[in-house]
Formats: sequence, structure tokens, C-alpha cells
Amino acid sequence: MTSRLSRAWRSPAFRIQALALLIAALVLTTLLQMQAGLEQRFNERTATTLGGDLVLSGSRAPEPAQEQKMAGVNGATVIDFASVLIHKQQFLLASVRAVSPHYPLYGELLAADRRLGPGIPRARGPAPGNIWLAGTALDRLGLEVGDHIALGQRQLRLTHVIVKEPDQQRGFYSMNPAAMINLADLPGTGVLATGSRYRHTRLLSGDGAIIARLRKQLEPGLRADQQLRSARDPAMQQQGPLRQLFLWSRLAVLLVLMLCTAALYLAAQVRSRQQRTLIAVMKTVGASRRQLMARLIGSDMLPLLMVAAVGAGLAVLASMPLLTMLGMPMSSLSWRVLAGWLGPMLLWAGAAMPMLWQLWRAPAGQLLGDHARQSGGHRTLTAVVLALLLLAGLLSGSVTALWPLVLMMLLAGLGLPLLLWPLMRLADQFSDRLPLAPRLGLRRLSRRQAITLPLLASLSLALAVISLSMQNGHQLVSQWRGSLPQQAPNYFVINLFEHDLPVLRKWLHEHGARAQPLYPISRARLTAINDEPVRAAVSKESDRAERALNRDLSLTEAQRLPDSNKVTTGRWVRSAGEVSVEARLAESLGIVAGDTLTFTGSRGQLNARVVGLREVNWESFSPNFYFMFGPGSLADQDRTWLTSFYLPKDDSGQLAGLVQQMPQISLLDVNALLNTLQNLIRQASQAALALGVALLLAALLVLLAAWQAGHLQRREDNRLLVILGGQRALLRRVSAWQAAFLAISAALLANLVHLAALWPLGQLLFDGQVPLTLWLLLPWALAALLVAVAALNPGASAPRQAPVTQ
Amino acid sequence: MLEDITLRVNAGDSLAITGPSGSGKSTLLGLLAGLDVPSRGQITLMGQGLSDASEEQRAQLRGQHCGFVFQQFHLVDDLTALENVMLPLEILARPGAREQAEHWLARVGLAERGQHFPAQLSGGEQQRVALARAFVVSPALMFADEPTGSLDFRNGEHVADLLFDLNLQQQTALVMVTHDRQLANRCNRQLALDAGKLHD
Repeated sequence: MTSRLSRAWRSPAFRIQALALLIAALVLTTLLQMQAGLEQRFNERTATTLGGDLVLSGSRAPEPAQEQKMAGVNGATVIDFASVLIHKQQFLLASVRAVSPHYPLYGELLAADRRLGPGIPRARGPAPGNIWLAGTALDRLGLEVGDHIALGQRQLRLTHVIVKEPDQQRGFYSMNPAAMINLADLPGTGVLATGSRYRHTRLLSGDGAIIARLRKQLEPGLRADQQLRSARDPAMQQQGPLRQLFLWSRLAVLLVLMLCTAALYLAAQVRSRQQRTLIAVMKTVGASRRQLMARLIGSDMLPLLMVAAVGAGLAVLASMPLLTMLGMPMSSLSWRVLAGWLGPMLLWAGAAMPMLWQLWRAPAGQLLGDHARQSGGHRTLTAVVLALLLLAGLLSGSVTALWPLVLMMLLAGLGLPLLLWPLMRLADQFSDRLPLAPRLGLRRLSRRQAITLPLLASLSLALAVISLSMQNGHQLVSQWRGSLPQQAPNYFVINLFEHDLPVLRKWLHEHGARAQPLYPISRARLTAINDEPVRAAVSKESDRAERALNRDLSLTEAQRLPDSNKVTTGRWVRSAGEVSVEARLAESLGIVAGDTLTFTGSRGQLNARVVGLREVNWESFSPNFYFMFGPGSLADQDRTWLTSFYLPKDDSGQLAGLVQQMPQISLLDVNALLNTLQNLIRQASQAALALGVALLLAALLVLLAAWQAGHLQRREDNRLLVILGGQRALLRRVSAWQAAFLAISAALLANLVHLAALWPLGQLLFDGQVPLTLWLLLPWALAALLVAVAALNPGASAPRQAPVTQ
Repeated sequence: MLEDITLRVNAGDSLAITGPSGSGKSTLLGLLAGLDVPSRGQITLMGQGLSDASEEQRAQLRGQHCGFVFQQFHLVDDLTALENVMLPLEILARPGAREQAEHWLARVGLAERGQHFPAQLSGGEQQRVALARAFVVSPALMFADEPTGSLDFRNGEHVADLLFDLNLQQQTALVMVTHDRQLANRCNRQLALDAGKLHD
């Protein structure tokens, strides 16, 4: 095998193929490994948010038959309810969560040993007899760790302060302080009896097959109050960096495949031209078809298999530090490495086999006599596209959402050069009066359709992928970083009274804390839409609507639209009596601009007209609201105030003073959650960069293959010019003009492909928001670079040998 | 490879260099045309030393004073017959390239084939285009390497006739490398190259 490789390696055309395959295997394997890590991370995060891979919740415990089905699957039970905590004659309404010993199944449960102490990861919730409380509960009841507190009929010892719960089922700023107890203590408290309001949740974890089977078994017998949710449900998969990155990585795999196909097609084309003479000679001297086949396939396929294996092996080595850096788990060496090794071979086979088949079948005379003709163009194109589609289908899994984009790019990449071709032919017709250098440069393209069209298609796609990946990567990273700036609010203060505001403002000023606006909060229920009772108005209740209708809502008013909000329909509120509604809730309740809403609060009814809908970035760490009213709307309502601010973590000790000044406030520390998200964004940004580099490498591979494919031809062309007295300056000018015509056409087409791809890309990753940017100029810059390289290195100056000796 | 070779060719002369394969015929031709430089010794073309000239100077001298005819024709595939003939004139920036090229295509009997590409021409026609391209610059020296080697007898005869006629009419000094004894016999002088040395 090694001797085959070293023999084949002597051919420049083989080296181009081998290099293309090496890089294709390297990039594809790395990307597949990275994608696997991302997928795992993404599913873990969704499962963490949900609390398990499968979650069965209801207003009472599951039925015995359901319990039987769930037996043997790893799980935990959580019961959420509201109850009163009592300490030294003080009462506090708390959101209590009773958890079984296996809680949490996913994510980190952080608890501190003291108020405002650092959160320490805990493998389990409270032991029997203990209670953990959120810091605000300690402030409100004047508790210290070690104190005892009554919950119903039980005295529980406060052992830890809750800093962060792994799942976000309670919301990170619930109005009632959080409490957590052991499930075993719940019966002893006596707080829950038949008819009590509580939420019983069973969290389950397991591999995909087990969960899918269990889900299938549980679904038919669900009670009306029960809900079954899975981490694999698209609705559960939140928008956010990981989801965007996950989709982007899948798209990147498809784009890399497309680019590798283009590179391998160009390389195989060069190799086939070179094999032509060899096969003709072999046929002339009487080689059998079997010998020919052995030679055609054996001389390339076996050495290339070895080269692809080296590429895949290097990728495995490179993936380890890369995934560690990106904080992603390393998946086992599985089918992905095999796909990274054999996938490019399949693409090569699609590109090379039809050409080799043609050589195998053609008579020797035709091969010897017809040098210029390219063999099997349509067949090759069909085979290579089929190979690409097959591989893309195998590797991209179920992401049907990506197909429109990839197909569009493929069609544009292949179709646009065909549209441009008549223009190039027309330019050829009128080029007689051009000076020699541009004329020769143009004709080297316009009269070699079989070489120029694939080259143009490949270059256009490569340049389009470079500009798209740069714009996309840049936009993703800036969107993530913008959503969570370095000094994002890390503390929330709620339950502020009117008279607290000057005190808070003074304190914030003294401590240099950067605060968000203060929002008044009034609690009220939505009771009517367009004067129709809300129950009748909302026929089809979604989970979101259900939650909005069954509880007091936090209403606020504001002069300015918050930075983390965007008006999607209508306008922002201007005056009292106007309200702006969060778009997704509005959709689930059937609310549109122009509707009149009626809320019932502590001071009676409040009416407002909907003037617009808003999209809200819930992960912005700024206070966000479903209903925001015009200034003055809530003046007659009972209200408290809320804000969030940033205080360096090192200064957190100062917060004790704030709590002492205003003991009734609830101070929420979201540093742990913030850190998690900031780390996530940092790693996601690095991963986006790595994806960009992989795409860039693949695109450069195409450029390299295109350059090399043209290089042999240019050398032949230039050698003859030199014999006829052409000087180096002429060679440079001709090469530069040739490159200019090609690169300018490719940059123009790349811009068209880029523009055409923006819409589906925007729909896929950015909710339709993809602006035109200066990245569109990148293909032109690269085109200029190509022209400069061609001018500096025209290929073959004076030949060391006359053509007569070849 | 070549040793102690002194060679003088005058206008209107035709010189055949014969010899077995590997004797250095093509290397000698490459040296004479300035495509390569000798490790020792001097080559003078039109009074200018080639050995010390730069690559650019040699290319310029070659373009102005030399014509080439190759066994494999070496036409530019993506230029028409007319454009192939125009090419050396355009490289030298001589005016009237098209008219001269048309004139020379007519002289080799291919006036009607000017817009055809090499792939559309027979071997004999391609070599005649190559002859027109070689003579169009009115070279002082014409180098030919097995000019009929790729052609059948009839086409070979036709091309050889044209080559010698044009050489005489243009008063070009023709240096031809060939195995073909008959072709060599049509030259004024013949030299045999053997073991790196020229013999009469």
C-alpha cells in the first residue's frame, strides 16, 4: 500500500486529489465530532431546563398503572406548592418544593452555607429534617443558617441557602421566596391534603430509546390534568445560543460537504485528464479491461483510502483539545469517525468514477486523438450531486429545516454559472479589439467550458460560504454578547415601596451599581378581552395561556421600550390606557392590536387598549413583562417597585447593608445563573469561531484545488507563450487577467448566492433578522487576492526544456 | 552532454541534425533557441550572446528572430487557427497582425480554415498552421524538431515541401532535428550528433 502511495504521490494531479481528500476528511471528522459534542450539550441543557429527559406532571400523583410503567427508569419526584413558613411569630408565603433523594437528575443545584455566601454544587437536595431557603426568605424572617422554622406541623432546620436550582420551572424571579425540603418530610407537615393545590412532577432520565418507549406507553393513559414533556420536543428546545449553534453546526456540516465535493470534483477532473494517456497507452498495448480497472481504481482508491484515514486520524487527535477548550463532551470514537473517513471517499467516488468509467469504455484511438474533450460531464455531475445528497442525508439526520437553504445554495451555485456563461461567450465575441493580455486571459476561460464552469461554480460557492459564514458567525457572537453584556444585572430587587425608592437610588449611587429602570408592579388578573369574559374568549388554551389566566400577573408601566424588547406589531405605548403585550402570549390568547383588555386587581378594574405586540428576550437578565402599560395607567393601583442592577461580585458583602435598610425587600442573587450563561456564551462563541475556521478551511481547500487544477493548464499555456518570445511581464498580465475574469465572476455570483441565502438563513437562525453587511465585500477582497497571487505567480516562466522534448 | 560543438548557420541555409535517440539533438536545439543555457561555452544569436543574457532578453531575442515547428504542433487549443498565427506578432506588438496572419494562412493553403480551432483541424492542417505561425514573424532562424514526425506520408511530404519552399523564399536559416533520412537529405547540410559531438 505504501509503495502504491509513493508511486501515485509522484503525480501532481494525484497530490491535488490526496490533499483535497486529506483536508476533507480532517474537516469533516472534526466537525462531526464537534457536532456530536454540541448535540449532547444541547440535549443536556434542554433536559436540564426541563429537569429530565421526560417529565410527567399533574395536579396529583400519577396513577398506579403509570407508576408501574415508570418503575425501573431512573427518576426523581418533585412536588411544588405554596405554603406559609413560620418563625418566631413571623409568617412568610413561600414556594415550597419537596424533592426525592435523586433530585436533581440534570444540572447543578447550588446552595450556600450562609446568606450571600458562595453557591456550592450539591448532588442532592435537603436531607430529611432539613430545609433550604432562598436568601430573601432569610432576610424577610430574620433567619440565620442553623435556625429552626415551622412548615405546617413540622419543625425543620435551616441548613443551606438556595443559590440556584438547575431547572427553570419556577422562573428565576418568582414572587414568593423559594424553599426546598425532603419529600420524606412532606407527609409529616400535613400541609397537603385531598383537594390541596399542588403540582406533582416526575422527572425521568434515560437514553433515547428508553425514553421514547416510555413516552409511547404513557401518552395514551394521560389524565386531563397531566402533561408529558420531553427534552426532544421542538417546543421544549429553547431559542438561544446553544440552539443556534446546534443548527449552525448542522448547516456547517452540509456546507463543508458541499465544498469538499467541489474540491474533489476539480481534483478528480485534473487526475482524469492525466490518466487519459496512461489508459490509452495501456489499451494500445493490449491491456485487458480487468487490468485497466485494477489500474484505474487501484492506483488511486487504495492510496486515497490511506490518505483519508490519516485525515480522519488527525481530526480525532485535534478534536480532543478542541472539545476540551469548548467545554464539550468527547463522544466515543464511533460511526462519526467512520463517516469522516469514508464520506469524502464516497464524494471522491461520485466525482471520479464516472470519469474513470468513461476512460475505461472509450476506444484507445478516441483517447489518444481527442485531447480537449472532457469525458462524461453530465454523468459526473449527476453522480457527484447524488453522492453529496446521500451523504448529506446520512449525516444531517432529521434537520429538514436545513434543506431549503442547502438546496438553494446548490442550485444557485450550479445554475448561476450557466446563466453567466452566455455573457462570457458574448464578451469573447467582442474581445477582438482588446489588448493581447486581457484577450488571452478571457479566452482561456471562455473557450474552455468544461473546465471553466465547474471552476466558476466551485469558486462561487466557496466565496459565498466564506462571506456567509463570516457574517453568520459574527452576527451570532455579537447577538449573544449583546444579549448578555459583561455587566448584565446580577441582582434583582423586588417588593420595593414608594418610600424605598430614594433610599435605593442613593445606595446604588454610593456603590456605583449600574441599575436598570425602576418598574412599578401591580398584581391583577386578566378577566376580559373585548368585554368578553376571558374564559369564553380564549377557546383553545395553551400552556402559556393557562399559566397567564390562572394567576395574578405582574403589570407594569414604562415610558421607554426596554432594550431587550422589540415591537413586532403596532407601536409602543404612549399614554395611560394603552398596553403592549408580549407577542407569544398574545398569540396564545388570541389578542391582537386594537383589542381591549380588562384586568381585575386590588383596586378594582383596569381597562386598556392593546396598541402593539412585543418580542421579549427573556434571557436578557433585565426585568421583562407580559403586559406593559402607558405611563400613568397604574397610578390608581396598589403597587410595589422592581429593578435589577449590576454590582461587582466582590462587593456583594455590601448588600447586607441594603437589606438592613429595607428589610421587606426581596433581593435575588442571579450571579450563578449569569455565570452559567456567560460561560455558555463564551464557549458558544469559541465553538462558532471553530465552525467558521472549519468552513474557511474547506473553502480554502476549494480555492487551492481550483488553483492547482488551473496551474497545470496555465503552465502548458505559458510555456508556449515563452517559446514564442513572451516575456514574464506578459505571462503575469495574462494570468492576472485570467484570474480577474474568473474571480470577479465568482465574487459576483458569490454575492448573489449570499443574498439568496440570507432569507432562509435568517428564518433558520435569527428569526428573519439578517441585515446586509459589509461581509458582502469579502468575496471581492478574496478575488483581488487571487488576482494578485496569479500576477505574482503566473506559473512556469521560461521552460527548462523545449516543448519538443516532452 | 554536448561537447566541443561549433556551429554556424547562414541565411537561406538548411541544416539537418541527425542522430540516435538520446544523443542530445533536442538539447542542442533548446540551447540554440535560448530555451536553455549551456553550462560552458558561448552561443551567439544575431550577434548577441545567449549564454549571459537574462531569461527576458533570451525570450525577446527568440520572439524577434526565431520560429519554431514542433513534432506535436503545439497550437493553443482555445485560439482559432488565425489567432494562433497572430499570437507571435501580438507578443512582439507588431502592427497589422491580423492581415499578416491571414496572408500566411493563405500561403499555407488554409485561408478558409482561419476560424477553426485546432481540434477541428487534421494533423496536416495543424502543422501547416504551425508553419504559418513560425514564418509570420519573418524569423532569421527556423528551428524544426521532427516536423513531419506525427504526420502520414502524404501530409508529411506536403508540410516538408512548404517548409523548404518558405525557407528559401524567406531566406531563413533552418535548423532541423530529424530521424528521417529523406527529410535530412533535402537540407543543404547534414550533421550527425553522436556521443555529444557533431560529425559531418
